[in-house]
Amino acid sequence: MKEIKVNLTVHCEGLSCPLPVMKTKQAMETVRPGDVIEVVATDRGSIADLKGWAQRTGHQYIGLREEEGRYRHYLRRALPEEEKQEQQFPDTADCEELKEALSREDVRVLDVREPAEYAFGHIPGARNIPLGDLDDRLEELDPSRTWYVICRTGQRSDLACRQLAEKGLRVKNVVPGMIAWDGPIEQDF
Amino acid sequence: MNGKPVIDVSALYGKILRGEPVFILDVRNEEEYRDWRIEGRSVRSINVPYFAFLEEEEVWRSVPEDAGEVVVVCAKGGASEWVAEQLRERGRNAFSLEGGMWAWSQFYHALPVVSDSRMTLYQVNRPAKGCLSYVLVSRGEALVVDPARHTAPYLEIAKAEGAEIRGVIDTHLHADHISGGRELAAKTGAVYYLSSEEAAGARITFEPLERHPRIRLGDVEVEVLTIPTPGHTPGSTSLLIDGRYFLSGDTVFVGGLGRPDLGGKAREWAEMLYETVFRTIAGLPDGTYVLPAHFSTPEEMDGRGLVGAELGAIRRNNEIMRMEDRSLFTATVEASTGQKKPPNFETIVAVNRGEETVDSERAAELEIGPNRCAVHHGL
Repeated sequence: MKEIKVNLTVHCEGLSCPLPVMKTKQAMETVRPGDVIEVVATDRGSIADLKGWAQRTGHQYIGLREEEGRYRHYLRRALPEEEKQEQQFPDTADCEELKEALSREDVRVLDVREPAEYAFGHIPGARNIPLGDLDDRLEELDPSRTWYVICRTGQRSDLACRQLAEKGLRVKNVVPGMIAWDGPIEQDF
Repeated sequence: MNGKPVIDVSALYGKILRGEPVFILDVRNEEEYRDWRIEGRSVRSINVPYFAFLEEEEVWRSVPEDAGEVVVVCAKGGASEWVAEQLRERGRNAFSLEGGMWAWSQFYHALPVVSDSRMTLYQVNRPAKGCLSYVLVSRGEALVVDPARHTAPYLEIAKAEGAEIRGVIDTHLHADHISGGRELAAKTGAVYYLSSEEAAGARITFEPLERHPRIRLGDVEVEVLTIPTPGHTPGSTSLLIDGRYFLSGDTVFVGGLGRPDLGGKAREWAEMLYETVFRTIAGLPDGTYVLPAHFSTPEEMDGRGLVGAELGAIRRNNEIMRMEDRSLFTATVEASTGQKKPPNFETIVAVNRGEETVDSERAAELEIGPNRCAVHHGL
């Protein structure tokens, strides 16, 4: 099974309810907002419980992979309210526009979500550079092209667009983002 | 007890049977709770998932002050133990249900329906599933009807009665729970009876029930008549014990009739059910005591916890039993079959037909959830 890059792995093998949720809660408090943790559990009940807990706490339940009696859950720590600012980058495109652009030309898509989110479903051909890595990986982006920048809800891609525009790249923020994307999807595993 | 504030399923059931007020805090997920929970006439219950308690102190106040003793319930007893301890630290009188719904789904309680010098008839209730099975004992011999998956309750009764289990009968091929019939027969050397029609194509060994219109047990005085009552399934068979006790399987319930749609032939089987109700069962007197294989609500229990009713009362209380107009009857029965089907019923049927084998953990998983074999009440 292909590894998914995460900030922290929490081992809950052999533990039964309520421990997987409790350990996940503790681990979540040690990572930064926006970070992704992987929870490995053997208790089947962890599926419904972690989903329910995430929904209640506002953390993002990214997805689940099952292998040989192990459940690998991926969760992303919620951002505090104050970080959820209004989107500022003026040049935007909605999902329909992006879909249309993809159908008629060789379009570049930059997905700035975390690798785990990307792995569970992304636009085919999209390049994945998480927002936090953008500064270090600028040279991966062809400056002669227009980049459609996408995340889950348009927040991170807004920050990314501002950052990239400052460096002189041509970018469009795709709004709202993957939550509204109904076009083709590719998974990494 | 280990110092831990726990209550076991048997003690909890005792409270419910005695009508003592029971307050249940069910800390499973909302969906699990909606689907299936502990019920009883004296039971009040609320649902707050355990992980909600991890987040805010506020949530602890969702348990009302007037709740009194709180029984905390979860899937297997782990989360409930934590919640009960936390409630105690906040000065509340709380207990965790040991083993949770897992243990509850495997709990059985036996009550004698009748006991005289010639015979004793026990009703074995599995309250979590609403499953009822029976043990008839006479002069050192026992006959078990519709045993559930766990054979221990029946072996214990036989042992306590000093009786040998000679026969095991399934009134029909069950769709809501895994039958313990073949296993019990294998363990005791008893004959396993099932109607050939139910076993058609199945990979199991059985004695065709239809070849035994009369089964004698222990004393020659106790007579068991097998009466074909197709409808819920084509081979459904009821038993008339000692001319009075009618073990009706899933054909007639205290609150109505068995649903005819689990085989995918609702119309055809509804027609059979009509014949059964208005030809076969019509011939039984009002005083016949009906003992079904299921109940759906605690209201069907009497003060002792026994589920059963005289046929006359069932006829009076259920309009469908008086609906002699054939087309109206079949249309009504068919219309009621849009309800949810028993969880995992196709797999359970496959297991009962010997087409699939499951270990006990998987079996318990398959059986989790409510029973849905009755045509919904109110008919």
